[in-house]
Amino acid sequence: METLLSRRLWIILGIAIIAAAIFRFNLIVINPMVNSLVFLDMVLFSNFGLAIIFFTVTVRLVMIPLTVMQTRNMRKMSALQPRMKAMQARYKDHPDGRRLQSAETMKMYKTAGVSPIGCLGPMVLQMPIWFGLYRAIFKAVPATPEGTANLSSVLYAWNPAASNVPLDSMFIGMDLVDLVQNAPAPFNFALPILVGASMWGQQKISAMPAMDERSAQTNQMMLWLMPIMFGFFTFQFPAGLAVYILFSNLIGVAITAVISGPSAILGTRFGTSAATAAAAVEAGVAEAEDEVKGETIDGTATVLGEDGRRSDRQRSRGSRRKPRRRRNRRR
Amino acid sequence: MPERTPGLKSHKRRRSKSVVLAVLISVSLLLLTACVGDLDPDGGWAAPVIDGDYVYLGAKDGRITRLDLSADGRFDPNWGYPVSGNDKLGPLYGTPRIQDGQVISASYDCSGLDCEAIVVGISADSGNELWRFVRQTQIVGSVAISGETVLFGTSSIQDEFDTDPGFRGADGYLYAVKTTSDLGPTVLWRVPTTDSVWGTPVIDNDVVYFGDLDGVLHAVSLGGEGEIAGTELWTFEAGGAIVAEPLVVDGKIYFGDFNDTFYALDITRRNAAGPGTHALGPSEWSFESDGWFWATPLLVDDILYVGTLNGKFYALDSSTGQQRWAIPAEVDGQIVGRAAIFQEIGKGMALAVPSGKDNIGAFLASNGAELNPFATNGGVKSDLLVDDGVLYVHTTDDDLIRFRISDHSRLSCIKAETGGGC
Repeated sequence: METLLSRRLWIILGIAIIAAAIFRFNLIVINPMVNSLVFLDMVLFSNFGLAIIFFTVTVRLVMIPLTVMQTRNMRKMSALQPRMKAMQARYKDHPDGRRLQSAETMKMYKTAGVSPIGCLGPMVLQMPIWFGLYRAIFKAVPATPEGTANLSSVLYAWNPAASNVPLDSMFIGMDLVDLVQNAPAPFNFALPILVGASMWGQQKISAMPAMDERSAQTNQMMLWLMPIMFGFFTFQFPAGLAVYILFSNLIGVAITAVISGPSAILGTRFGTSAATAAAAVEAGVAEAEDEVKGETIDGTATVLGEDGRRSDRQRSRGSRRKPRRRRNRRR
Repeated sequence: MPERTPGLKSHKRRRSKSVVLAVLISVSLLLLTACVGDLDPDGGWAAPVIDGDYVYLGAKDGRITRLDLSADGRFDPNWGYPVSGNDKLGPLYGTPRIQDGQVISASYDCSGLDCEAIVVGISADSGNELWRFVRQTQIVGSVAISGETVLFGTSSIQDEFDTDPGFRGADGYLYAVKTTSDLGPTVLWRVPTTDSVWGTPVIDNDVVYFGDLDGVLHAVSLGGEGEIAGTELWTFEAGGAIVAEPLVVDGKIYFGDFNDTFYALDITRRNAAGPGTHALGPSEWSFESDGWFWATPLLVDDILYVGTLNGKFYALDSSTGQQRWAIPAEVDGQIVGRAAIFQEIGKGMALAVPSGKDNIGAFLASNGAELNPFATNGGVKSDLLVDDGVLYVHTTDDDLIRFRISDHSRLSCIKAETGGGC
């Protein structure tokens, strides 16, 4: 049920995002952002930098349910990892192994309530926010007469801050509208580095568990590639957007720390030892072997669920095992 | 047929997904960073101006060209600025001024937020550059001229280039520059402000009036009897930014702001009250609308005509601020430029109202009734000019269109930069 819900949720969110992006991006995303920023600027002592930071915190708080869902999803994926490895080993030489493995994987995900694309959600949702904020910063603090004139049509009549424009875009010595590369030292170099580093940290703690060595290599490549890319592109961002990404990443790390517990971050993500991993794999393999003993290896009926009772039993067994796996993880 | 290893296949799929994701994000970021054009000024707000037989126009790309009215309003290919060897100006927002055989124009251009503004004096005869004044700032409004002194508003001056006399590090200035000095243009004085000065200053009785983006209207002496030039006489704090060029008529100053409010101040009373900001007096009034004021008002027969950025166009009694039309007229786009008055055959006085979207709206002055518009097929953010039965319009597409007032038909349309057909 949970999987079904989350899948439906993703589909609805995806469709909504695409529709908004195509048809009414200004109306749905940018205009509310501009109004929020202008209002926050008024409330926060006419400080546009504080407005962006407060806006970032708000966005991340609103997205907490998604972040929680993502973190839980990752935990479940981690818990499934040993079984997945065992399953791969089991079907390695099977003539129809690929199909069986795929079907069983999906079943395993379903039983465990895991959405394979669940980890992408917050990132996918962040992209329109980044696009929107990029445009919103320029719109809220326009640098040209055209932009200033156009701002009048963006601000809501009931926004009490509407007459406060134009806003002052200076923040701790840098202009938030100007590109990072034009910011005074040390911001011109510090911001890209900080954005890259914070993104690395964010990716590190929210990385999907690797299924095998090759996947681990790919994950490792992405872990470095994305922060470096973002760090590089940050030179071309307005400083305000860089501030948003930086604080968004930092808050993301903090939220994950609160949800998972700091020890989970330090121990599981940064400090996973080979021995722990091997033990987990062994435990998983043993568990899988137990399963194999109790089930038909040619498994078509079992896996495809033609035998409804067996299939149900398997699902209920899976459900029963969940607490045990969680207990194992805690150890 | 050999079966491929599932692990390898799924790994490849995962890797290709990762690569696709990375490419998508890269493309998105590239698209994101490609939008930095928002920092670059576009221009195209300069209105045409008539001097003798010529109509001068500042094009979007910084060229200044002219039409020859004695040759049926044709483009004059023998005159143009810059002539070879001179750098052209940046995008123009302010209308060029013509005085004593000189065309004086201000412009600015930016790379990121590094901006360079140029004020230039050009020979109206030859098109040759007579003098040039450059500062690292923005100049949006037109210049005002008082004898040999040119006055204009600026944004802040970049620190490393700020060597002019007076207070440094202000967010905006009003500059007074003498253009006839042997050493080239020389700064006589400048008045610092707390925000950029985008509006055009207006001179009346040895006093210059200008507003700034901080919402302050300034009255500064030009050195009249017993006064030192550059001395601030009084200020008035409006509720929002002032970019509109004020209108000064018969001892009153009229202007609007970004707080949707239009003001009429009594200059005599303000001068008597002295420095500082004072509340509105009995002879002064304000009018609340529902849009920002950018356009300069037009005063005809004691009625003020002024538009807002939400397309509303009002007729106000100049002495009381009361609306003269039951409902304001309306155009489809923003009203940035000043309206123009003309005689509509058989119907009386009428107003042409520029719209930031399409067409020039036309309304009867008596009641605001809508007439046939002047079809431009493009937005207009410049002031309108009516002369000798012809309406001159500079569109944001950089077309200079001439309309015959009598039937609202087009006489001609040329590209402002090149003189080619639209």
